[in-house]
Amino acid sequence: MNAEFVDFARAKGLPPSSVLVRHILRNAVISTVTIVGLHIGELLGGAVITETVFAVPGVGRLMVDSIFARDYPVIQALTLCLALLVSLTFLATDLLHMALDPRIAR
Amino acid sequence: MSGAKASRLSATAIPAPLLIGAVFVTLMFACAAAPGLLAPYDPVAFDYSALLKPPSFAHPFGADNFGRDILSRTIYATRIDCQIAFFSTLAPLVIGSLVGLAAGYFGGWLDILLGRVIDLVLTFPFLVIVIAIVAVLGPGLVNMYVAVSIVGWVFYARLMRGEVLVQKQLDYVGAARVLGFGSARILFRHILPNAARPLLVYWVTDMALKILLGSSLGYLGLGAQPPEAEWGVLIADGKNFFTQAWWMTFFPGAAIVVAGLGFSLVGDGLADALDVKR
Repeated sequence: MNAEFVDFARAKGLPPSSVLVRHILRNAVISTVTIVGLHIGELLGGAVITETVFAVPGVGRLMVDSIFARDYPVIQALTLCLALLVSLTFLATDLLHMALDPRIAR
Repeated sequence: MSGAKASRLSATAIPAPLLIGAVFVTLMFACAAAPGLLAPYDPVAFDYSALLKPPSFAHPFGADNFGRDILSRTIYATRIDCQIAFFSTLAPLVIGSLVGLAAGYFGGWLDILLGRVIDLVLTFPFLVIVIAIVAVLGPGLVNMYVAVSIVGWVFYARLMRGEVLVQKQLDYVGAARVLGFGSARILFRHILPNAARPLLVYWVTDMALKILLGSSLGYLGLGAQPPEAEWGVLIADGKNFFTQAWWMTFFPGAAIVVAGLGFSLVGDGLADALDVKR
């Protein structure tokens, strides 16, 4: 809010809403995107617990069930799939970073 | 004058969050050290006259579907959860510190290798990879420690590496090298004491996280095994009676909250007291 580009945008006579959304939000949301990306992994891990507690027939539930069934290929596949999903999320956040701040793309 | 005195007192006094956290943690250690003195009943004794009794003076936290006293079971569970907090963080702390020290100090291929391993581990959701390892090793407390240690050391190594990279540039390291000290002496006598503070803070915070993890795995049946009393196991036991007997899940859950809160507060308080930036 105190950065010079905000003063400049205001000095250009832009309405406050435009300054807030186009100039401030765009810069402020970058770190939020990082946090969201990092938390996706935690959420996916947490899903194992949540799905068991609430009996949701999802990936996490399948994982716990296959552990007790000693079904190792399923566990392997699920672990790999979740890792892939997290990698893709990291990729998406990186791409979003580049879209939000072209300086990162260089 | 009295105002100046008060402000001086408050400046030297222990901050309230640290104090509250320390009280919780001390309470937990007391329960873990002497459960027999604090618990009114035997945690595994069946009492068929008390099946699913709601909280009363005889059973302050109620009784479960076998008539076992929930208060006693929660107190005995503290012992296992303290174990979890300690043993599932000890190996990661030691291994992670050593690897981080070496990678940060020597750099080169070791550093590159560590970077790749960190990337690899971060790709897997923590709980998922731990559960997968436990699945391969088989459920149980010791296997849980092994699984957590296999994955957990990476986070300590990353923290230590970053800290060493900063310390290595400082003058005292150069001075030590000019004096002709060997790498081992510089690393362990000079850099390690200066780089250890953030790690200690992270260690205490990590204990809280590992108690939550241990309870989660206990709940799933992958950590502590029934009839061993562990908070997650207690909650799992109570799950089937949730609509009739809320006290079976509520009190162990509250114990987890208190323990987690205690360790987190102590971690935060230590971070402030040791002036660690996070």
